[in-house]
Amino acid sequence: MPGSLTSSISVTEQVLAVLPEYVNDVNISPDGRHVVAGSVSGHICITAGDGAVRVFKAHEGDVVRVKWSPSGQFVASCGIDGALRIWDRDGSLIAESKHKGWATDLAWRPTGDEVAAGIGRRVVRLMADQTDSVKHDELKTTVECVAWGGDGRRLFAGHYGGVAVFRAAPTPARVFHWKGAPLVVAASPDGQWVVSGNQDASLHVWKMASGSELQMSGFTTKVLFVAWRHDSLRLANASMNEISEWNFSGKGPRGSKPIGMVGHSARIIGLQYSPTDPKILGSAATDGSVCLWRPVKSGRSLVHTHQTQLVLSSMAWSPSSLQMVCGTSSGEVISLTFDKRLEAES
Amino acid sequence: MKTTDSKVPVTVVTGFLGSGKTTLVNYILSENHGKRIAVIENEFGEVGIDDALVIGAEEEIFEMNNGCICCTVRGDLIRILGTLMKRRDKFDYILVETTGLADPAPVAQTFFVDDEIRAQLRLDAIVTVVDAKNLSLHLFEKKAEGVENEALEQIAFADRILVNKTDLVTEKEILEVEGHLRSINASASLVRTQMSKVDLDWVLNVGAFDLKRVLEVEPTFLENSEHLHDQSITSVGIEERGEVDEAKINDWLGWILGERGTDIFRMKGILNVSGSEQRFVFQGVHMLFDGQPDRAWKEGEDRVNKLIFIGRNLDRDEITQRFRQCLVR
Repeated sequence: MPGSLTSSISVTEQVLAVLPEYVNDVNISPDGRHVVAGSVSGHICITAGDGAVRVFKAHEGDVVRVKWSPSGQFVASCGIDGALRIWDRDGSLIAESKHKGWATDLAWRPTGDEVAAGIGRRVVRLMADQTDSVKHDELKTTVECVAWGGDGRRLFAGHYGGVAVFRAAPTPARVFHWKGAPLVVAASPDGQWVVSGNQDASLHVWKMASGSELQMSGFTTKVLFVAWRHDSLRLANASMNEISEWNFSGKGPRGSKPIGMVGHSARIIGLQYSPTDPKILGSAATDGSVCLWRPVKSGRSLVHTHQTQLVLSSMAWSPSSLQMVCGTSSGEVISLTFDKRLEAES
Repeated sequence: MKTTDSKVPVTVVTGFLGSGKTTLVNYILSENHGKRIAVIENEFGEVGIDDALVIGAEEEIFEMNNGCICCTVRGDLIRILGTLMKRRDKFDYILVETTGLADPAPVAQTFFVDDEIRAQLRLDAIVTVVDAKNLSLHLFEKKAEGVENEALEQIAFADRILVNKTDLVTEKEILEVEGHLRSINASASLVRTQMSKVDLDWVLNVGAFDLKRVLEVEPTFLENSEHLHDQSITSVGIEERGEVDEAKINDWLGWILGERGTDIFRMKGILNVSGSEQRFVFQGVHMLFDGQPDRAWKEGEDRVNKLIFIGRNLDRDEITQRFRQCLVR
């Protein structure tokens, strides 16, 4: 019975840090011990693991994104001041690159300490051990989102008009043209697919090998969140308070219906499969609700709902345990630890 | 848990280059109005978000794949307004100043099409500043085939028009300018100004897109329209007594939105629907339509249907005739 499963979950909520304003992004280090968060005040906080928190001013104006490097040694941040910066765990500046325009998104290369960011109409790449950055050719429109392929060989930049695919060169190796505005882009871990969530309330999917494309439309609102399951067989997306999961096994989702999941009653601000239990999908919304899902075609996909008393603004899973960190609109950074019995009883 | 505050009003200031737009924005900011105003300027500049709350925008238009013009929005505004809304405790009004060449439609539509913006902000009014001395030059400028005349569109979209620089022209010239403006847009209110100095209550918190205030300003139609012949953008007004059949009027408005939505910039109306004791009010921007039953008709009130369409190549006779077919006989 799903009911007995639900009742067996307990959640521990803890405030890790408080930043001055709205928390735009949160992230947990690969070892699960350090949290980084960035605020629209320009501040970043990094937790030390022993409860100590380092807060420092990282940008003029909003910090847009913060992410731990795959090695766990560095944090990258970008802001509306047009800067991309790499910091060490103590908050010392390691490398930076500043350009005209706002930064909109950043992504670490999965294979090394190199970070790419969209700043204005460009993609900028910065390495932790080098002072020079690589500035890609200007695209026709503002880069809204960036993502690396799972093997780190391809870099995707979504912008109005399509998705540019970069390899080593600063000129796109290929552009998936499409007349729409991608807001988020994600490549499947196996490198077979790339998907964008769009302003016109749709998902656009390209198959890398053939370049063939498909479009899923009819969502309530623009699609700001997409998440690949680690086996590349499922893709989830969020639009307003609704989540859909698509089956990408076999020939892909063409003509198929997604699993629809409604548990939140406000706008979703984060959606991710748990790295430690990939069948669990986590989501958080502005009304303070956090949901855990185990998507099933028929029956109840919702495993657990936890209600915080805060207006959530961002969310990320820990890569090493069933723990989540959330930012809030008033600056709090909280962690939610889910009881492991969830896995045992499934 | 926090509850949602009321929506933050946004005034869009448009006007041709040199008309006095920036002067108006600076005048509003310098006046003591007790409001904390965030300004989105039309040039990309340094971000002064912490102190002055002035942000520069670089126009970026998003057209959607389906080709529907009502889905065309301003990507730069979505980004900037999104950022502003994360610090909404720091301001209580937003001014958006467009470039002289900006098409007002994507700016206005951004406030209706993007759900996050729609949930938190409300487009209050489009205020257009007109240079009384040079208006005719801009209006009758020959454009290549398919190129829009932005000066005309900015007037057509306006809720409020400042006839500025009246100190540089004669009374006769002002009257001529006002005549041009009314023939294009019969529902906007006009005011004569110098150095863009205007009563702030006339431009801020106007509620022009508020259905409850639809047609609060009586449309001014010119009897004599001899200067209209070389001008494709006009207003068509209908003022008729009688009850309209709900199904027929729905069909007709649906047809107009679908077939003529590209050409119709703004529409507003109050309807006397057969069998209803309430006024039905509506307004639209291109294909975006909003309508609802309003207050009850008052005892002894003259139940007149009033509609106004502002757009390109409108056929006055056809529109009037189709409307009359919706009346209950």
